[in-house]
Amino acid sequence: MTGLDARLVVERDSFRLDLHLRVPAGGVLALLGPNGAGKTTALAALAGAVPLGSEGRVVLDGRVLDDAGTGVHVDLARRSVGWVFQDPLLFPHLTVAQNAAFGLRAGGVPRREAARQAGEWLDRFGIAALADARPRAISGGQAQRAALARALAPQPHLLLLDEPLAALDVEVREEIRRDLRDRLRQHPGCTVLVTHDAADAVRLADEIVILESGRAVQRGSAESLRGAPATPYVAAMFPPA
Amino acid sequence: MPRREAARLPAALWPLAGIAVLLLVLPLVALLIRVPWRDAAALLTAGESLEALTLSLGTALAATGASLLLGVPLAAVLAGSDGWAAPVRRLLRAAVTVPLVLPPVVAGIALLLLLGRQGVIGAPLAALTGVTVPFTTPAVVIAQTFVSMPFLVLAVEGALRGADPRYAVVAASLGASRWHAFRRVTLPLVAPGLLSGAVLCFTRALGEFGATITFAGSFPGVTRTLPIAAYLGLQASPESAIVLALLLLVVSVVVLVSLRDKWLRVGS
Repeated sequence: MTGLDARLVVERDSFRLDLHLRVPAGGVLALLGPNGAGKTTALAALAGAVPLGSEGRVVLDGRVLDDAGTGVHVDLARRSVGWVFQDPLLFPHLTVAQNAAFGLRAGGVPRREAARQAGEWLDRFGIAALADARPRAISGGQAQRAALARALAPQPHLLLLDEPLAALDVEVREEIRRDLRDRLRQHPGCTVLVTHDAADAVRLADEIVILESGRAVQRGSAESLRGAPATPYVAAMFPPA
Repeated sequence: MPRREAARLPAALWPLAGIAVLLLVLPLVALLIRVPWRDAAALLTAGESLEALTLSLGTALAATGASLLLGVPLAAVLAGSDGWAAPVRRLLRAAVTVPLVLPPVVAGIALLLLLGRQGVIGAPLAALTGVTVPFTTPAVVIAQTFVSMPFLVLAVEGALRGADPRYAVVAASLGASRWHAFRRVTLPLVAPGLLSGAVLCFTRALGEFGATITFAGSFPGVTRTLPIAAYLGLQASPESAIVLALLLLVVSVVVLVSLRDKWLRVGS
């Protein structure tokens, strides 16, 4: 496990994203930036959902997933890249437990074993009691917990989190943030978190990358950003303590 | 948006609208009045009626099955065709919608010209295998499928276009192959559209007359379906024709009621 090494180049109309990301195995990187900075585009590029421009390249744990130079492209289904959105997007026709087991089943894990592991993941996110509930019968916070359990259950080499807490009430958000941090600490794969909330970045990530207009304007820990903000945006997000 | 108030309509529209309603309703009332209720059960279970009924149910079910098997993939292709060249897309869409507006007799003639004894495919097929399609029960199913499959295709395509595409993305991110994601996520998501499409398709197949009688004829027990039996019965035994017509009417109403959420909801 060598982690993620990606050069993301995406050109679209007048917008250009050019971003180099390195995440060690087990590490959590937060992409923080204002609306339109290219955060979600960067995640889509890591997922292989948008084509990379020249010199674009994604290598995950030593495996080349994309290389614009040689034309290599691995489909999302074969990348071992989990993707969680702001909306939980639980499959409405399946129970919470069946949702959590979906990735394991798709990966060929036998039904009973998948159900057992899915149950453990629901337990880790504090929603074991909802295993047999349908998605429309549970709250937004519970659904997002289930979505996180579903994404982590197959143990993806890379986990993409696109504003996973943004749609939640403040109190619920803090609770889930805490649980998510514990889970990410134990996750052997790497994680890229997109957020516009500095609290998410500070609490969940080992390294923060500030993205503005498609470029990384500053990288480092919350302390280093606070100590020497490179732009007014960074200064506003990390005011002196 | 301001409500459209019926009271503000020009007065001249009222009588014409009334006549329109009568035109739609009175024939059905007349049918109901003339139903020989006391003998209805006996007439329905009489040899010929029962034969037509079972043939109709069997062929309409087979046509619905064929439409599901072939129409769902076509609907999926259509729903995903936005990136294709416009002429190809238009041609594909025309292929689906033309049977909707085509007079059924024309469909029957066209099927004969393709699969008939002298047909484009029918002639070599007969020469090679001795099999002739027209005027057989499979011909009934083919005619019904031709006429009814477009209903299913359009309903399923609409449902697929309305479904959130991110579900399929999530499924892929969980390692699901395209087939697995389609079968386990996309199809269940559009199940309501699939069901209403299948029901519409079945109803249309059950009522099919023109294409069937042209391409498959009217052989009792082989190709004489309910609508054909009802039409022919008008001369020989009007009472049984009325009961068969009533049966078709009941099926239509049941289907309409079962789809009321989709087709009968007025306004929003």
